[in-house]
Amino acid sequence: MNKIGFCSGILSIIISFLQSIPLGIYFDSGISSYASISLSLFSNNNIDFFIWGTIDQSKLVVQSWLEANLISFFMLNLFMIITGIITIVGSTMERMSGKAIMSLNSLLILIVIIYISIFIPLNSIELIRIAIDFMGLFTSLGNGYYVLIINLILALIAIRSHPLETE
Amino acid sequence: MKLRKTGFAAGFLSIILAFIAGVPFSFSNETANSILNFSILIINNVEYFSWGYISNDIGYTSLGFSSIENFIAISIWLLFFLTGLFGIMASSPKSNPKHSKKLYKFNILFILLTLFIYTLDYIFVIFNSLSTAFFGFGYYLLYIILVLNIISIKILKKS
Repeated sequence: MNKIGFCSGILSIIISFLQSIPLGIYFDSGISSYASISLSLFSNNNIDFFIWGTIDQSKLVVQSWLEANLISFFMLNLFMIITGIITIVGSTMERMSGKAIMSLNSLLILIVIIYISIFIPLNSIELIRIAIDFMGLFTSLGNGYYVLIINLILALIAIRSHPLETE
Repeated sequence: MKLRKTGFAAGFLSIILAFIAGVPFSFSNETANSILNFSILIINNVEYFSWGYISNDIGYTSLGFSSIENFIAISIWLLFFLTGLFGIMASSPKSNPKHSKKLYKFNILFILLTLFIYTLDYIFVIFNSLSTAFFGFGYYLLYIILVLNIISIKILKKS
């Protein structure tokens, strides 16, 4: 089993669905947490952008990419979910097909990073309905973006370390 | 090859220290607020954990990538998280014993480093101020994790 690939897949799933990672979890009539690490990609005008959608902090309105923008839904949300699922499956396949899946995983994560870093600032009004340039984007990057970079590094290591069954 | 239980337990305990503040250990109605707290240090009623601290029942954390100072917090938290991850990865039934041994050694190194940091912290607080400082249950749990990792290496050597 490719453990680093598996970790990369889990990270993709976490970033695809969660708003934040809870820290200091306690059990008081349910599960709560004292603190959390936000997984926002970047923020602008009190709006936090995630892989799965946006949160308007001023109005407290949550919107998924499926409602907000279909292209962003395909490029961010769907790509990351597919990446997570195929990577977890591929990490258990000790064959060349497994290694190919690991390569596909890193390619998809790279596409997502390029989409956020280049395509969103170039066509921000059409894609996220807010004007944001390169400077605005790179000065407001959140933890989610750095988690994506870490995920890409893990995915690249996973290609090299993928075990192959010897007969 | 079976699952290495001691290594897995050590990893699981480290993950608990990295994410969980406390667990209720009594479900009886008569003993209210019976919570096993995983704080590592308690200084002036402020409880310090691997992820941050709790003061007046409000949690604070410095984990994040927003500034350079946060990297110190991330590094300390990663010492706990990686110990957990390595412990679980090294204990899986299919893992290579040579690699597992290396991971357990890394774990021991990480825990010794963590214990050194918190002990030094405690000594500085005690000798340089009038603050009251105590070790929490999390600190003693670190010793248990250390012992479990040492046992895991010994079991690996025997097998």
